Amino acid sequence: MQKKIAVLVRDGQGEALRMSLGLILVDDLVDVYVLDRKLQATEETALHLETLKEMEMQIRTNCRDNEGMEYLPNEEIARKLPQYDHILAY
Amino acid sequence: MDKMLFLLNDGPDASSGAWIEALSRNCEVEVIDLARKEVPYDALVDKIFACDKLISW
Amino acid sequence: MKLGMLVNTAKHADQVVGICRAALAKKHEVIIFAMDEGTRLLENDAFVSLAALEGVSMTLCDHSAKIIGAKTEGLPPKIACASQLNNAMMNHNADRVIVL
Repeated sequence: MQKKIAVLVRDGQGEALRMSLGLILVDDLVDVYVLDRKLQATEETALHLETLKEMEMQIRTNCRDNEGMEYLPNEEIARKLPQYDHILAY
Repeated sequence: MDKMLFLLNDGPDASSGAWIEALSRNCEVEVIDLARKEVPYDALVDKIFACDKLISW
Repeated sequence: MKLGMLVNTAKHADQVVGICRAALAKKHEVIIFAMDEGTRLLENDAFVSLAALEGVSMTLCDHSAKIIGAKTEGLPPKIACASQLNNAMMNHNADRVIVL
């Protein structure tokens, strides 16, 4: 049965995004939430972000500075999180 | 209402309180501070499997 | 039941070991995946020794280990140098996953 996984991207942004991409390898549903800060503009994060979008994964954020992601306030994210089987804060 | 276990790996930080508060509107949240070693590991394991959802923060 | 342990820092060796052993004592299976800074724990004897316990499977992200410079030579054969696929499998198969 497919699992639903939320990855909460906090400190280790590059590794969190790389891990998110890896998690879809067994066909689980993986959504990404970039929390509390702007995604650093590095070559690594840009590459992973591009791949996440190519894979049509949901990328949401509570930080309005993050362009190209769906903005949701904390309350809305908190309402969604209990719907996942695993919540991985990185 | 789901029971959520919120594990603070390194104690509270700048945002943990706000997230715990937000999650508490939708879940029954229990917070355990692992840094304070306030719960024996065997009891912690029981809580990990007894909860519906788990976040390590 | 199955407990997944995603070890991505080297800060919580005591908790990893303690929770793993407590879970085994309660007849749970434990799946450990180490990545990022967590691969530094491969130099921690107490952490490495978990792999030998019945009911534990342990893999690590080889890519992380190379980036971090973690020591992977001489590890017990039960510890597999692997990829993010193993993390995906752990998350798929585990009933609960903690991140330490």
